[in-house]
Amino acid sequence: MKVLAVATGKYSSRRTQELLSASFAISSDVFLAVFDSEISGKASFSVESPGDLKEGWVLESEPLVSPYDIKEVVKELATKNGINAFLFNDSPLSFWIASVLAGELRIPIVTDVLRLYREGDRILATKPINMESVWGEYSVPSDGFVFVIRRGFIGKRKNAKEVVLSRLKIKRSDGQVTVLNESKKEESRLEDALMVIGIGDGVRQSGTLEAAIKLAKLLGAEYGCTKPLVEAGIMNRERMIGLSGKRISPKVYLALGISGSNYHLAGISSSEVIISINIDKGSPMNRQADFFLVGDLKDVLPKLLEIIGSEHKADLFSAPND
Amino acid sequence: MDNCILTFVKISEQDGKIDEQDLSTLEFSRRLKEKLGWKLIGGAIVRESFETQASREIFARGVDEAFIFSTNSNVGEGDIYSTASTMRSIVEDTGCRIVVFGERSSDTSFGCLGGYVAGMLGFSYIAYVSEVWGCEGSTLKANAILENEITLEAKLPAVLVPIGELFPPRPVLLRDRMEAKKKQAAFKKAGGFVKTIATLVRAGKPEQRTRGGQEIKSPEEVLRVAIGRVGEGA
Repeated sequence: MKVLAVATGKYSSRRTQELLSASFAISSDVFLAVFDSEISGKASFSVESPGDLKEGWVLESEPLVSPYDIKEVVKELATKNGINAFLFNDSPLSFWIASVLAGELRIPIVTDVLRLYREGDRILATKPINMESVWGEYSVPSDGFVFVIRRGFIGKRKNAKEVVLSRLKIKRSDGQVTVLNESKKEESRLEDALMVIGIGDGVRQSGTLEAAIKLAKLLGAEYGCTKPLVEAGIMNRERMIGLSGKRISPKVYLALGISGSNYHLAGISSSEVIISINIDKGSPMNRQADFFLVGDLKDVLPKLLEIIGSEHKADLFSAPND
Repeated sequence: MDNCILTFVKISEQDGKIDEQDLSTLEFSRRLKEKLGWKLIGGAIVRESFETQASREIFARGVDEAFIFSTNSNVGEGDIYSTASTMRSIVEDTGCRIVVFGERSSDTSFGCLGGYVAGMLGFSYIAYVSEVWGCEGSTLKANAILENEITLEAKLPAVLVPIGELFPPRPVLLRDRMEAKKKQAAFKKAGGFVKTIATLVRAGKPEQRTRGGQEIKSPEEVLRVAIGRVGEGA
């Protein structure tokens, strides 16, 4: 069984290693295609691979390529190399391409895959179902499938090898779906941030939004939000963390006034440390956190800003952390 | 094909109500109907006991016609392939040039049903739709938000999946509910699902790391933990 691993969206070495770990968990014949418009112009590009890649490509794009153009290249690579299994990383573009590809080929698709192994001629993939409340294990035949691997995939750590990828041009087609233009949006680097401040409805209700954003800036953190803040038009969807928003895996996630719905928890479960500040001691967010502080954000946030702005700030960087 | 919009909504197997996320899918479809002047058809696969309730829920939210496919099978039992196969037949029956799916609600959180159906049928597919500009001849122009916002032109027929958060549902008035009672849906027995190709073999509690849940008492401690952890291995 030959597997094509496809990484789209903003390139991340860690995410690509997770994708490749998943691929090598079920096959030794692994190919890799990377598409990120920011890296496609670089003269040379290499990745760290946890196994021996058969071949790897950076998909070089012309301006305004559509998801359909990328899908066609993926299909061409599959036909040329006798590939019948596809693993995508967890990005909006991957979801787009993967679902259409699976439908066209009429092969099974399983998304949000957290675990993967092979058992005879079947592949077993574990994913969360029922709003993340249950983990289900799906069995698919090994002769053709599409998986979307969730961020934080639990793979075996192996010594990574550096592999230089070759270049492959994507041509813009006049196909079914054509991109006419593209406008830059506000950039957030939620997926790559070491620390993320999560802004919940409690921040809005306590009127401390400005202070929460200021805290993020002073800490050098990114900030994201829960779904209700996007629905209320307070923040852009680019910053939404959750099941259909961004899934993040920072070293520290500081949740401010977040109740902790399953929808939101699905986006932060791969965080290394979760700290919650919430007025309600029994909130699900506090229960899911490593550490929690019970308090009113109207009191706590000014205090945090005061400490960071004070001359004792340096002490924080040298003190033991737990 | 006809100038109509077919929108799929998920009906809860517990209480026969429309899934909360699909209220936004319906709102998007309703705005699209108002913009294009096309007929809006609501489609749902429901347990037999919820046929009437489902049709009233859908009619109360501004659809012109409702196609209710009832089944005795557990709707959640199907995989993407079997669910998509059933929906494909509904799309073919209605003959609509635009088909709308919700982001994650209609397919037990796989997030890919719309694309799969589009792939099966050879329809164009646009996900993450933020705005539809209109239709001209055999094409549709829309904006979608990926890393950036893009404007796309798609050949019709097309499957669209809107960004739910951008289309908060309008309130349902008592008058809408009264009107809904007078309307008659087309009911059809969907029978069993096509055989699945991805089989759910086990289900259990999530294996999540148990976190400490340790209470800390001061804002200083919050910063000490946060900054200390980020500094580790940096």
